[in-house]
Amino acid sequence: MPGKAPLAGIRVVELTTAWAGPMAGRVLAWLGAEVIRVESASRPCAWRHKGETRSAFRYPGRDPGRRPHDRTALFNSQNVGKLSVSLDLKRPGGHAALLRLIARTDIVLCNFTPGTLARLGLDHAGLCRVRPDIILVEMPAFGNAGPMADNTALGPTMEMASGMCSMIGYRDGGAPTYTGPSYLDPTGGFHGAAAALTALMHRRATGRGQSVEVPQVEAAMHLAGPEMLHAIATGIDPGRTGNRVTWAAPHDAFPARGEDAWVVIAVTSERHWAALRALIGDPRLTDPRYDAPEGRLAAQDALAEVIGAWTRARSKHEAAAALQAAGVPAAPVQKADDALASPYLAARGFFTLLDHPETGRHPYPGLPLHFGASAAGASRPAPLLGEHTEAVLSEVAGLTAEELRELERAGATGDTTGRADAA
Amino acid sequence: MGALDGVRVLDASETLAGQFCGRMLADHGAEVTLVEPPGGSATRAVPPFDPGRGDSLAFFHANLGKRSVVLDAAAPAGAAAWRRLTAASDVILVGRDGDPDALRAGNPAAVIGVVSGFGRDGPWRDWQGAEIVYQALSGMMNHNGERDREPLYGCGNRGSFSAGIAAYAGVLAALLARDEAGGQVVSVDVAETLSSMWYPYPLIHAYSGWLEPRGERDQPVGRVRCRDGDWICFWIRAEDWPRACDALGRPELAADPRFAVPSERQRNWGAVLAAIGEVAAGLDADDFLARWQAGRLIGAKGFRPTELWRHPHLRERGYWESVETPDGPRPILGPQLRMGETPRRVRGGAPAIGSGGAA
Repeated sequence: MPGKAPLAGIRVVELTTAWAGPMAGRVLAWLGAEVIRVESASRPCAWRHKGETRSAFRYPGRDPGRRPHDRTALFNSQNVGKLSVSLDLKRPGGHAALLRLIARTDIVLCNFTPGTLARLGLDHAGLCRVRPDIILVEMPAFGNAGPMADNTALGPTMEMASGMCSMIGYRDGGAPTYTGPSYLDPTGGFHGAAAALTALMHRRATGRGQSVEVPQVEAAMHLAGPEMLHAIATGIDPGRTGNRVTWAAPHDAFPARGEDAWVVIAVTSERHWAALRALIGDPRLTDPRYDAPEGRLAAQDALAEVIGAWTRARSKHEAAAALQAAGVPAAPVQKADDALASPYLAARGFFTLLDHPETGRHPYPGLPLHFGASAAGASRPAPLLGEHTEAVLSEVAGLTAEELRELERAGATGDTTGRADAA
Repeated sequence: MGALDGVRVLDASETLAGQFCGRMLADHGAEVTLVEPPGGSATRAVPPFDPGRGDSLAFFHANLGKRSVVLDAAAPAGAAAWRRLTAASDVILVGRDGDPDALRAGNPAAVIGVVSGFGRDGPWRDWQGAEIVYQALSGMMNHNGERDREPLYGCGNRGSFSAGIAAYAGVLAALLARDEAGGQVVSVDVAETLSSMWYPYPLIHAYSGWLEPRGERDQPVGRVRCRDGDWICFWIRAEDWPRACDALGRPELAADPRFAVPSERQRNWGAVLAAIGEVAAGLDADDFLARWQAGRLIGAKGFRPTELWRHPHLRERGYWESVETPDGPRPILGPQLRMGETPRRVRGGAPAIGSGGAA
């Protein structure tokens, strides 16, 4: 019987867009915080796709419908568990209403470009005036200061700037390659949540809030920290070696039966090699030159031919299961349908079926944080634009019915985005 | 002060993910003791290795600021030391083979972090992990590279470090819940962490049946090689196209019907890339980027690690730091989180085996 959620009673106001900021808020919502997105109908979250015709497959039944901004899988994936307040800060009354909300808020989360908050009068000093112990988490791509601070960035350009892409690419002179297709955004998401939680620990001990900057590129460089330190120590940048590594073999992706089907194998110990050789049972693998890693590293193409003949005769799932059963690190390269059918993710309860008023019932990807005694998880589907404007502004921020009507008259609280496809 | 001053952590995770979680706890003020088996942690054998000292830089990066004790849990003295250490800890990090129930019984107030590749239960409990394995399973790998070639896994051990960050968040959440819930187990798998970091292709598939093929993108993103051989990555938002054409010195492209609206541009994305590639081929990367950014466009150079080490932006921000170790100062990466009131503090290098004294 789970107890309360770890962040029950904590309120977060999110001024975020696209992926990294919303994911940070989603982690806090998963942990039980009340997370309120504040977005304007004229410039809502970029992942609502205002003013862009994006491919129809992002919408249920490939139909954008009348409210595409409420029907896209992108926005709906990263905003599970939150509330939405539609508020245009540039319209009369919008700014004051936000400050009244922030006065009742523990954490403000923001991934706008540096300077945006200050221009809105919402920098840390400004927030402290209405909420002295506020925690402000900002997530600028390159930090709030420095020569590159005002460079606008998105996941792939941040990954290029982090140095990681330079280590990823085909070994025949291929381009530096970004991954996932965006690895930096969810990395920033976890870092943003970690920042808020660290500041909450400090506030619990001292009663004091603080301002935290999460420079997303610098933070993400830690994922390749050992490779960075090695390049610094040697003065030599790592080359792009495809799926092979310089220190073990075979370590590669091999073709499996079917179209664009692949199985990866990582032999990183002599035990793995003995197991692989026994499983495949091809006499060509018993050549004594292959008994040492150096010999295998020198003969990777020849080994790939033998191993590839074995993998090609099997589905990626069969091949990986047989390899793992034999004690060889291996896996199918999975696609979206594989993930939805994965027995491992099912055992973790990774997908949560949620009913969304504009899209129906679908399985939503979760988070890897599981608690023995506290409640955590996906509590509600992503909010419609402005779905909770009135409830939050009246019940939390304390606006009167008349004040709400004034905001509406001023156009500060609309819930439609206007034309769907502006050029 | 650190945000986690006074928190005592025992790190017996024996995984890079668990150890990086412990390192982040140490960065922010916790007192972290690394528990190693006789002979040392398995992560001391993870490449790459420092060319001079020969030690594992993966271990170094994941274990800064900790003390190390060696403990043979199979020996009676080791078992007694383990009971004593765990009883005195706020957080205990273990791997797949840890025994959370016994730890809970011995210290009901402790947060037990189980950080492993595939978890303590479930169908893949006994699977063997590796970076390429985690990336393949997550789905992320499927999107890296070209359509008619094999997918690319990435580099290093990014999955394990990502799971370490997630585990850090999970452990702090459990510490914040401790007044209410007491101690409890928090479980984080590397495999599930990477699934959670994937672009929402599974939800897209559930919405519409779509399977995104590798090498085709529904996104206005691309890479081009400049005259000096360096690469530039760019993203062209819907409203940016006219400014992009100006930055390229090709204003007439803004009126070209193939590119007039975002959906047409996406359909003709190959032609967009070709046009940008042509301009880039005549310019050095820095010059191309200067033009591009003067137009308030999204773009970045594909930096190499040694460039980042020298880079004026990171230098001006004081990113690269140095830590004192018994064999001299060594470089370390700057903070992930710049805490205004409680900056991270790295108290020392990674510990030598057993350098923290008797267990």
